[in-house]
Amino acid sequence: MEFLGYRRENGSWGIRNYVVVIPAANCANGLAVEIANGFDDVIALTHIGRCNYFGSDKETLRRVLVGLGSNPNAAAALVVGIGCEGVSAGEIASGIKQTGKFTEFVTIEEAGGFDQAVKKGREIIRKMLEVAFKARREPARLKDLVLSIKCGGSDSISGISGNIVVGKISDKVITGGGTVIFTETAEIIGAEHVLAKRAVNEKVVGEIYSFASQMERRISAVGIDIRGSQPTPANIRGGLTTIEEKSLGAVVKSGTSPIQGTLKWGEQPAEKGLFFMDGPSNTEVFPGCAAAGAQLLIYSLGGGLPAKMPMVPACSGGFPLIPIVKLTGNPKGYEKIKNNIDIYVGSVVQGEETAEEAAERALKEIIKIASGEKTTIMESLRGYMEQISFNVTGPLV
Amino acid sequence: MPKALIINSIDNVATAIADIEPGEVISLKIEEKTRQVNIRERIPFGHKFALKKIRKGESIVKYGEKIGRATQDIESGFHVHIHNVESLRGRGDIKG
Repeated sequence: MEFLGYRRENGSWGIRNYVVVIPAANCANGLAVEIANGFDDVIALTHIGRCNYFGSDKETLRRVLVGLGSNPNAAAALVVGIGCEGVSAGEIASGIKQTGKFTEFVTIEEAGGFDQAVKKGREIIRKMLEVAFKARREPARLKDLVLSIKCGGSDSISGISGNIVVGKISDKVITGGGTVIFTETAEIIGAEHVLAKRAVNEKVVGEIYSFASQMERRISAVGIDIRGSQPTPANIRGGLTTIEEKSLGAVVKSGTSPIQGTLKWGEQPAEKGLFFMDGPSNTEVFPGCAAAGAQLLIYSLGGGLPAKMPMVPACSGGFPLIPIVKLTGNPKGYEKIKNNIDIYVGSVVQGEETAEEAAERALKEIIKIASGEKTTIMESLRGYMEQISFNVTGPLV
Repeated sequence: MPKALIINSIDNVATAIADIEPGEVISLKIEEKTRQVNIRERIPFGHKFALKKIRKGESIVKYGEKIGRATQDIESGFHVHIHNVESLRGRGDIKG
């Protein structure tokens, strides 16, 4: 199975062709927005990352910002800063540059002021767009795909409908030689043993248990029952009773393929195959997966979401760098939020289509989206982006 | 179309895939065996009901796996959810 993508300098394949502007810390968000303002296909990746993160959080910031700039959906990357960041714009830019991508940086300090930095940044963006416009789509193989998966608004049937189909899509990508990343550490609590059976070796078994127990320790340290946060209020409304039940349904979406390894939040896999990435379960999943190199994310939605949910970005998580394909296997949920769904597979639970047939059909749609023949509903909401949050584990000081 | 599904033959709960009203008798198929359950209270779509009497302290089993523990006796056909089931994980409220 083939898709049409943009071949990047380091051999990775983009399915979109953006220019990204990356603030080195949150203080530079305004500069990034001002530089990107008015240009089509230029995305300011604003985030809450602080200049004074320390220890592992500082490394996370560096890894994720370099990862986002390195994502193959970006043809070029401009890093912007004030000049006083803990991880400088220049350091981030040089990390991205290792992919061979057209990368530059601008700081207010070096440019001599905010307006000067905007002017300089916009000149660079024009050059970057000229380069991006020259890129042409070429045939790529399934092995060139890095797919990420997430579930949301999960209900008691997610694990026997939508997530089964996503699992089969994942298996097909892995069989085709590609890469799949799944994450959401809290949502493997109670299902670690199921994943551990699929780990390729003892090291990976240990990492899976260790990520889950670290997360559970941090949860327990708060001193309350996690229920109400995990499962979320929407999950409980949908019929999910405990985190164990949620996790057992959630891990179904990773299919049945062997788990090749684990990743830190936003870390890029060193080889192909199926990977579990440590991280939170909310919208941090999108930048985490994008920084790890995913070109696309399948968002498996249950019926736990509010009725007549309009184009609710708050629930959907706007993140334009990678297409977010919303899929549901819940017939009742689909009726409520039809105009929010890219792929409907509720036919499986209704016995009208096998999970295999639905996965085959869904993968064809995904290939069309990857090839740029179709855009996702989230992509049609251009201009909306939820500010990127960071998976920090240390205190904010 | 069935109104509810049992996922594993050792499960003691089934999942509704339609809204089910009290008084309905639901036929469920698992591994070629059909069983019937009298529904005793309203079960919303996506929610679970007991397939047999589950005693306080007994595990709730779905997917053939333990998903929690009954906090009270639950009779067959009754709604199984947060009002009568507790989680065993992520429990910072319990010491040890």
